[in-house]
Amino acid sequence: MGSIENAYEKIEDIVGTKYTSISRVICYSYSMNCDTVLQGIPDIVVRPKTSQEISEILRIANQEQIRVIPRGGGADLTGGSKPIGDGGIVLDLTRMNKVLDIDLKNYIVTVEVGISWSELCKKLSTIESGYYTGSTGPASGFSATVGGGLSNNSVGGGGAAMYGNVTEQCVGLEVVLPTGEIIYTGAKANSFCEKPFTRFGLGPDYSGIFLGDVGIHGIKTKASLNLYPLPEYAAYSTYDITTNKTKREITIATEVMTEWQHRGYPLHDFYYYTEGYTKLLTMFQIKKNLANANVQGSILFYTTTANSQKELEHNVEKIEKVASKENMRKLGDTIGEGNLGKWFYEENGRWQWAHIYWGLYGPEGTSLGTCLKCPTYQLPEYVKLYEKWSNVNTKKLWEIGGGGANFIAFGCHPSYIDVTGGLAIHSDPTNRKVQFELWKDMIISQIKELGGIHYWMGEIIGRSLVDSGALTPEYYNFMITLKKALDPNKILSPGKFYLGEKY
Amino acid sequence: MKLNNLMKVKEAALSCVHCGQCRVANWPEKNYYYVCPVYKTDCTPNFEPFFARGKNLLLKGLFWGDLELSSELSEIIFQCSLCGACEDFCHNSHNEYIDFANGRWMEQVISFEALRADLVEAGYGLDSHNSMNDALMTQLNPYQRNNDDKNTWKTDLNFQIKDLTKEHAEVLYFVGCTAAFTPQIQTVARTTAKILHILNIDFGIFGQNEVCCGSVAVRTGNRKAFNKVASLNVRMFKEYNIKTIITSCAGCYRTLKKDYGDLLEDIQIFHTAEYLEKILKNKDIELKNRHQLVTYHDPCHLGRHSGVYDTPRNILNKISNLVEMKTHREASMCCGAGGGLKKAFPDLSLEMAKNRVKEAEETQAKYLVSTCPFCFRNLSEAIEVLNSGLKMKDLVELFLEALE
Repeated sequence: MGSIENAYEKIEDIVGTKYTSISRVICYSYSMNCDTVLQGIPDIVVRPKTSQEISEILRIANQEQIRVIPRGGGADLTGGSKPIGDGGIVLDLTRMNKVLDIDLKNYIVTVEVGISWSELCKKLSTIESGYYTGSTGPASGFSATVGGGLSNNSVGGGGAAMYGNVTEQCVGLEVVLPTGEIIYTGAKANSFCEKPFTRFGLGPDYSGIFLGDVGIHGIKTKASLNLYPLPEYAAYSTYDITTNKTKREITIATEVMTEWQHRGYPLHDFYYYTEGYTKLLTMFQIKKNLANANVQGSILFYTTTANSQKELEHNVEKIEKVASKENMRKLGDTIGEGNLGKWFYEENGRWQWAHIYWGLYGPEGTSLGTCLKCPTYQLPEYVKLYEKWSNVNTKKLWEIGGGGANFIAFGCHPSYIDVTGGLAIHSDPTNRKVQFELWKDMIISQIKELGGIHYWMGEIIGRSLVDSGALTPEYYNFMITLKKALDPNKILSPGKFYLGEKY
Repeated sequence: MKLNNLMKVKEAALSCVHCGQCRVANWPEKNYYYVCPVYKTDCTPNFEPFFARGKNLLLKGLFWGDLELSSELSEIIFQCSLCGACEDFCHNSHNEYIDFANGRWMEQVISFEALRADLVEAGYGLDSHNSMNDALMTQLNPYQRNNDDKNTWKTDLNFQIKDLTKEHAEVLYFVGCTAAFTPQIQTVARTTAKILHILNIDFGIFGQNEVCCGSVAVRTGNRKAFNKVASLNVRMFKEYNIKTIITSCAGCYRTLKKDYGDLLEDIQIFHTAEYLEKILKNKDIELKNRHQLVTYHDPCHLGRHSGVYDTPRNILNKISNLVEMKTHREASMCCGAGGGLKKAFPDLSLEMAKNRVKEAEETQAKYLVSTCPFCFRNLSEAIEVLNSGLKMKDLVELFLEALE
C-alpha cells in the first residue's frame, strides 16, 4: 500500500488534486464495463490532460511497480477497460478530447483519443459540406472514444460494410510506451514529415501493434484517421425473408450477402436479423413498424451511397437484382412501412444501433458480448452453433435467473461479416462464477468449432483464447516476447490477454 | 444500511447497461449535442459518477453490498440538477422519444431522488439543504422567510385578488415560493395575476397561508419535509374546495401533478401556459404579435419531467417570432437551477446557466423566454455575468404585452 500512497502523491503533483482520486466511491465507479460479471476496482483513478502527463505517470508506475490501465469511454463489452482483478491506476482519457487538425489537403483528421466518435462525427459533419471517417466507430459510438475503438479493432457503426474496421482507417498514432517514451507511428515517425498521411512506410507497420491491443503495448494519445466526404446520395431497402424453415432463410440471406460482396457492389451497410431475433422485436412491439409491416420471417436491410442520382439508381438496380429472390419480400419505402435501412441511415445517426437491444432481457439484465468476425459464407454454421449451445445451456441460464443467446449479422468489411451477439442474463453478482463459465464456454465454442475471430480482447476473450488452445505455443511466446520488450516491468494492462500470470 | 427508498424503485435503479451514452453523445438527428449538462462544465472533476452511468454503477454497488451510504457519496450524488437528460436519451428508459427504445426499465430521476432520500435518512444530507428543509418544516417555505412576506408581490396591483381562505373562487393561483419571495421574479406573479384579471377569470390565492409545494424537499431527498407540506396542502385544497389550480412555476407544477400522485386526483392542475392555451381555444381573444425574436428554454420540470413542450411554443408562435436553440424540447440543455444544485453548488449551477445562455445567444434572439421562476433567476444571473445582450422574460410577460 505504501507504493500506492507514494504514487498517488506524485501523480497528484503532475495532474492536480482535482483530477486524481483514491476515493472508494470514485474507484468503484471504474470497476466495470458494460457487463456485470467482470470486476476490478482500481486503487487510483486519474484524468490526465496531456501525453506528457501520461508519460510521467507511467514512469512513476514503473518506479512504484503499480499497474496502469488506460480507459476510453468505458463502453467495452468484454472487460477491456478496467483492471483485471482489483488494484492499479485507471487512466480515464476522456479529458483528452480535442480535434487537433483537419487536413483537407490529405483528407486526414488528427484527434486526441479521448474524443467520442459521436463528437468527432458531429464536428466533421459541419466542415464545408460535411465529412466523416468512413467507418464511423463502434456501435457504441455515442460514448466510445476513438482510442477505445482503435484498441479493440472496433466496428459496428455506419459505413463498416464499405470501409471496414476503424483500425483500417488509422494512418498514424502518437503512443506513450509503457516505459514513458512518446513515439509517433506512420508517416510522422519521420520527424521531417509535416502531416500524417500514411501508416505504411519506414519499415514495418508499427501502428499495428497498438491497434486492437486493448492497451497492453502502449497508451495511444493521438490518432490520425482517413476522412471522406459525406455521401451526397443514399438509398436503402429492407426485406422480409420468410420460408417455413429458419435454416432456409439464413441460407438465402447468406447467398445474397455473399453475392453483394463478391460482386463488389457499393454497400455502405447491410444487416441481417435472424427470425428468432425479429420475432423478439415484433413480439415486444419494439420495432412497431416491423410488426405493422406483418414481417413473418427474418430481416435483411442495406444502405448504399453515391455521388449522383444516376449512380445511385444504378447501384440500387444492381443490389436489388441480387435480392430479387423467391421468399424475399421488399418492404415499403418509409420507416413506418418497415424500412429499417432508412431508419438506420437517416434517423439513427448511421453509426449507432446496438445498445438499443440490450434491454431485451428485461429489468436488471445485462449483456455478455461474444461478437466476432467470420467469412460471410459461414453464417449458417453460426446458426447451428447457437442452436446447439442453447440446447445444452439454456437450462443452466434459467437456473441462475434466466437469459438466452442470440445474434445478428452485419457487413463489417467488403469481404466478411460480423456475427454480433452474446448472452443476455440477469445481473446477479452471486451468480458471477456460473455466468463467467457459460460466457467463456460460448466463446470457446466459437473459437474451436468455427475458428471464430474475436476482435475485442479484454479479460474474457483473452482468457478464452488462451484456455481454448487456439494460440500455438510459438505465437503465444511471440506475444510474450513482444510484450516483455515493450513493458519490462509488466505494468501496462497486465492480464488482458492472459499471457501467463504476469503479462 | 437501509435503502428503504431505493428498494421501492429497484428495477428502475438497477437496469443500466453501462453503455455510457448519457455522457457526451451527439445525435444531431434528435437535437442532442451533449447529454449531461454537469459533465459539460469543468466545475466538477467529471469522474464517472458525475454523469448518470457512474451513479448507476454506484447504485448497484449499494444494492450488492459493496458500498455504504456516506458523506463522500452524498457530496457527489448531489452535484446533479436531476434534469433527466440522461433518462430521455437512455435507450433503456421509458422514453418514447427515442426510436425503438426497447426496455422501459430505467428511470434515472426517480432513482437518484430515492438515493438522495436514503442518504438524507442515513444522516448524510448536505448542510445547505438541511437548513433549507428545516425552514420548510417550520416556516412552510424554503427561503427561511416569514410567510407573511408572500403577499408583498401584489401590493402595487390596482385590483383586488380574492383570498381563498376567506372566499371561494373557481381557480386557485398557486404562486409558489420563488415568484412570491424573490423581488426580481415577483413580476411573474404580478403579471400572471394581471392576465387572469384582464381575462375575467374568477381566481384567488392563499397569500400568506400558501404552503410550499415541497418540490425542493423531494429533489433534495427530504421526504419527511415533503410529506409535511404535502399533507398541509392537500388538507387546504380540500378545506377550501379547490377544484382547479394554476401555477406559473414549473417546479410547483411537476410536484403537484406528479409527486402528489393520487392525492390530488380530483383537482385539475395547469401550468399557466396550459391554462392560457385552453382559454385561447375557447375564447376569442385578440393577441398582438410584436414579431420580436425570442427563443424558448424548456424548464426540465415542465418539459422532460412533465412532457409539456408544445403548449408554450404554440403561444409564443402567436405572439412572437420563435427561433429554437440548438438543443430544445427533449434534448434541451438544463440551466442548472434545479435539484438543489443552486443552493448547494452555486458555482456549478451558474456555469450550467452560462452554457445555456451562450446557446441562446447563438439564435440572435432578443428575449430568452422560460416558464419557470427557478430558471428565470439562474438564467438572469448568467446573462448578467456574461454581460449578454439577451433579456430574460417569462412567457406571461410577453403574453401580457400581446394582450394589452
